[in-house]
Amino acid sequence: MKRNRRPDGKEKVTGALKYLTDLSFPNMLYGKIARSPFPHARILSISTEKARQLPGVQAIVTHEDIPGLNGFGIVTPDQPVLCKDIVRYVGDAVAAVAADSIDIAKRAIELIDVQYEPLPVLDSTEKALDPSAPFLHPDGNVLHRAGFQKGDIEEAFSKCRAVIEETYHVPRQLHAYMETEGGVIVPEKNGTLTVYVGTQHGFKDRFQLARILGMPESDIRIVSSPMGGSFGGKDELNIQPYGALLALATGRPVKIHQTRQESMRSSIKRHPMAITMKTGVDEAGKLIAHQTVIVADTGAYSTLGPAILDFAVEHAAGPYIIPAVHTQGISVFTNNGVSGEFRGFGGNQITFALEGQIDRLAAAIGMDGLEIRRLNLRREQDAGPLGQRIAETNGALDVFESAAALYREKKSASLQERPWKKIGTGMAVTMHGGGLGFGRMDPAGGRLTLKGNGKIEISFGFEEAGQGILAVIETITTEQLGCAKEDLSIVIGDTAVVPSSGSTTASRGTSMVWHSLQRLKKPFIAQLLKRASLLTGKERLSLGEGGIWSDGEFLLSYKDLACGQAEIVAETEFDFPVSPDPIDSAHFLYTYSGVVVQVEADLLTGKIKVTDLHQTVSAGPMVNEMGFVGQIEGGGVMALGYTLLEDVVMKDSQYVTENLDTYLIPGIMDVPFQLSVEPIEALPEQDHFGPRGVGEIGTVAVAPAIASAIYDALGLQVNQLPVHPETVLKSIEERGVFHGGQSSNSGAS
Amino acid sequence: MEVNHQTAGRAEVLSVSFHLNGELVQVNTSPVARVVDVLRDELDQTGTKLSCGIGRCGACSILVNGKLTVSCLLLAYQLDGASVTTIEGLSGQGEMDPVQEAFLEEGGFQCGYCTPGMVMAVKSLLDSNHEPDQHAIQGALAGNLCRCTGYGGIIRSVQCAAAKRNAVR
Amino acid sequence: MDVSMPVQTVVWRPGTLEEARSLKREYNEEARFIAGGTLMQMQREQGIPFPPYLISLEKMRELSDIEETVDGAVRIGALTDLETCRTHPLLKKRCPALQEAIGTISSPAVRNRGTIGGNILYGVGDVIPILLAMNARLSWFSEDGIRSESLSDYVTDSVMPLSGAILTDVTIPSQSEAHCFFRKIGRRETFIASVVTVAMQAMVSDQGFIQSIRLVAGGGVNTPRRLVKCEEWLSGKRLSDVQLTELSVMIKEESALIGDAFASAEYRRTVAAHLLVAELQSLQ
Repeated sequence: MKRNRRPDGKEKVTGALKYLTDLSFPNMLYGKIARSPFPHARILSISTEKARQLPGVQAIVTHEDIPGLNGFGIVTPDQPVLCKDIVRYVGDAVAAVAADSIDIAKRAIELIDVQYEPLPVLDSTEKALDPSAPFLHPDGNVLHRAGFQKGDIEEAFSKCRAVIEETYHVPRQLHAYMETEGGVIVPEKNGTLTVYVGTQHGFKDRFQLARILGMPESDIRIVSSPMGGSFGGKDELNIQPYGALLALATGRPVKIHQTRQESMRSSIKRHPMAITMKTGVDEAGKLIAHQTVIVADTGAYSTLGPAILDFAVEHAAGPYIIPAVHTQGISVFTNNGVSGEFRGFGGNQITFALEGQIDRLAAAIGMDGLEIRRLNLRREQDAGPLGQRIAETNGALDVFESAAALYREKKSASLQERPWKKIGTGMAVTMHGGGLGFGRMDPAGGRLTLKGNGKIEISFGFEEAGQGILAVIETITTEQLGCAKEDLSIVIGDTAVVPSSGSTTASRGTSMVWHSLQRLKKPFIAQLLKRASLLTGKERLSLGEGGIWSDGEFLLSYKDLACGQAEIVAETEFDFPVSPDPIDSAHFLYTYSGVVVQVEADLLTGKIKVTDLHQTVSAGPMVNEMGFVGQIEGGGVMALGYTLLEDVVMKDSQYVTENLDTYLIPGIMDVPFQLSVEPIEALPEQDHFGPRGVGEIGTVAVAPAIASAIYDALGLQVNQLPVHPETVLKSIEERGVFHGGQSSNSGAS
Repeated sequence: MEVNHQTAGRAEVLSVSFHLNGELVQVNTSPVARVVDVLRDELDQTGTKLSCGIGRCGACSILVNGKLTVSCLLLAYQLDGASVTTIEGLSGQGEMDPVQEAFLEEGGFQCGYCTPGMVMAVKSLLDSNHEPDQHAIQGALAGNLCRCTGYGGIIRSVQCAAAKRNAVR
Repeated sequence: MDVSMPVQTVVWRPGTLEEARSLKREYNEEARFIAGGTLMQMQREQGIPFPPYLISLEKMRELSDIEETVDGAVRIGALTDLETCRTHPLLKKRCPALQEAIGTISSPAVRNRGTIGGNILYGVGDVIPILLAMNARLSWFSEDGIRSESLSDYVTDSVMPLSGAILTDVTIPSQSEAHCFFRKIGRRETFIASVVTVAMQAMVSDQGFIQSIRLVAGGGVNTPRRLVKCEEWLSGKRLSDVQLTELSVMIKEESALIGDAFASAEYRRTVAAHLLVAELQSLQ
């Protein structure tokens, strides 16, 4: 089994690694951003006079100081960089300050006088959709509608033996990357700008910043790795425009590193959704009708809201084959922060609802939860959820059978319940699309170079946010070329030197690195061997550790091969594989997971503790076991938090949770001491798509599995995340599991 | 106590002396500056990270007189005369501490941002407990949040580090 | 608005209580005492600035020891850090429930710095419920000398500290026969603020009669308080005769816990009742 140490590991465990927020430059200033205290208001005036008088303040910028477009957004730039007329959420920026110290910048922000006229606050999708609601954007409060339809849904419902209808509510989740947004923006002597700020897509940042600053893209260099976590949260611009404007205004490097409170207020979050599903089965337990209505709270601006809704719509029936499906989604503007990209991309929300339906239907018709799944799960050659052809794998059934076996084992194990505790076992399955989907620009690429110093340089436009892309690149490149890791130099995260690879998102990275190497290795190796052959006159050469080998004997080092000659370069550009069927946003490469959990419910407090968390994942061959397991375990625990703890609470569109004391991510005591992951690497023989990315799949089906375990323990069917102990306790009391101090539980007292 | 003012003296800028990773350092700073800022900004020791700023994540954990301390809740005047160990102090002369080795081997980190604080907490645990059980590991790391690993790799790293240290003994 | 930077805080570090008192007398409202500083620094980060003067008590080493007094009580210096309390052999022997309670406070790193006195003066600190159950007393160094009062009086009346008074120690009377119980419920398993904290100390005779009992409930912003009516109702009863359902209702009512955005009043009261009742039941 491959358990390669990460190339960036030593620097990380010794603290030597410089994150971009660790950088400092001579003559550097500190920046702060003034944000609206109101979730919705008209700006009457902005006065920066007093702040400018404060000694140590070097520059203040407002909307008047933006040379280019005053807007950003990966797809639609509808979020003002610095608001002029209207603020639409409490993170909306109105001014930014550069000063000699953080304290001075902070004080200057207090001295900026902005007069607001508060406007009606749309703190729910219901309010925003009310015909009397004010428009947050010129076209109204609907950002996007999406839908899918197959079969005759009404007719199908009329034939059902049982129909379940339920509305599921899922919360606003914080990425809670440990490193908050920040970095340094440096104006160079030649008039160009270097932006040392983490992002998931350096070239996209460059494009957006050029548009804002009115500068040619070629004058902007983005250095964007490493990052202390991102999970989708740093794909969109955050502090870059403010740092850039201030650096240009002062001619000095400007550092901005948001405090956790600032980050909480300004950062994007996972979309809260209300998902209503009506699902029916026939006499045999076959799913025959499935209707879904999704209402997503997208907050104040677009960012990737439309794509996330599309993804949720696509995955509404998940891995189940249902003849009649009707799905409608709407993404609604509100004043509740900004929702955007987050690991799982709408899949987590919809899967919680879908698997909840399956469990409810099973209970309603008295069928085993495993049986109903086995009966309805997709087979290898079934079409994808939107009817598109997809890369064939038996992933859905493979992960299901693995999880089902473990589930049975856990269920039948005799459990010793402690006093006032109830134990439950649950499971869930899912499938999750990788890449951006049909009809979306999804280019990838990479470059191999034999450098003058004899290093084989492999470079990509991908970013290292912690997911381990560096280890993936090292492993795949050494395997495909046959060289040693010492022969390699890996270059990422700097638009000045890397090729375009597309965004580090949507579980693309691993997959695209592998595909790149498939394309690069032949021409690159051929060129190297040709030169080696010319230099040595020998044949039957191959690449190996340290250099060129012939018949098992070392012949020539890479250094000698490179010495004094032109660099050998191989470059590739291609698109992420898509379905041959032209269905908008449909995915082609899917990963699958089956999750089994065990929980212990506390009958006195209603608290749920996950004591066991197992995930079986089918995603093609594993590149590096340590990275794979890390992604699945970490993703699973992030989802455990989503299920039981995490909720960015807002009241009247103001954040109630302001830091990690009230917004709770799981600590070491909240997770099972031993997590378990089983990879299923098998792919059909004809598959030529290699390893799939696993950045997201570990987060998708954990919530419904926990919900299923809670049902098993207590008979409570939860329809809202996070699961509040209060809800659980009420249910325990209503069900008579526990009555005012007297126990009817045999395990108690 | 090596302070430029007397016991009951006062100063707006304090000259504070302490041992940092074995070396005596002197910093002129506000007495109420946060130690995390003194380390990162004044002394360019950026291995110690800052994440929540309110003692609720552990990213800024250091050892002060051998005791695990969050440097975001510690003020400059409290360092006076202290002996401080940061992540930079664990790997002298290129030799890594067994805890660091274990994190590398077992994948006890991903983005690495919580890692310095986590390593310091593990170091603190193993200094006082050579064979920590589940309860001891959970208790010792309760104040260090990690968003990437789900703690699986970290727990394996702690167990591996304990074994390494015991093997040396 | 004044266009200038806020005044830099000055830190005094007196070596004796007298010095500390006279500094406080001099700067009065402009000065605050500070010990470990973990709570005050956290609050500063949340928007409560430091006053112009801080008077650090950390140099008073005599306030950071734990000892047994002549009458068999345990005296803990107010400046003893929480981690020392959590692991101290004397407390392990005499007040294991206190150590358990301290183990639920924040994290090891914060407990290494935060003091038991600071946790008490916080007003809603997690040591308070168990100390109330154990009938602890506080000693103050004040203008008119050493003053002592019960912790219960302190949390009920909040008369102390008189201006300038310094908490010097906490004393826990000897009650070796008593059964002590503590439980804290937070929104996370650990490293979390309390939603509900309950504590109990009970003396039950061999015949099963409740000779004496103290019940405490707190959590969140609720100042922990003794449930005096419940205590009176229980005193003298045979444990097996106690109507637990009735007690549960009484606890809910008397605890009067209030709710917030994360947990309702009803939930907190119910949990407090469940935990205390279940514990009493286990004594039967």
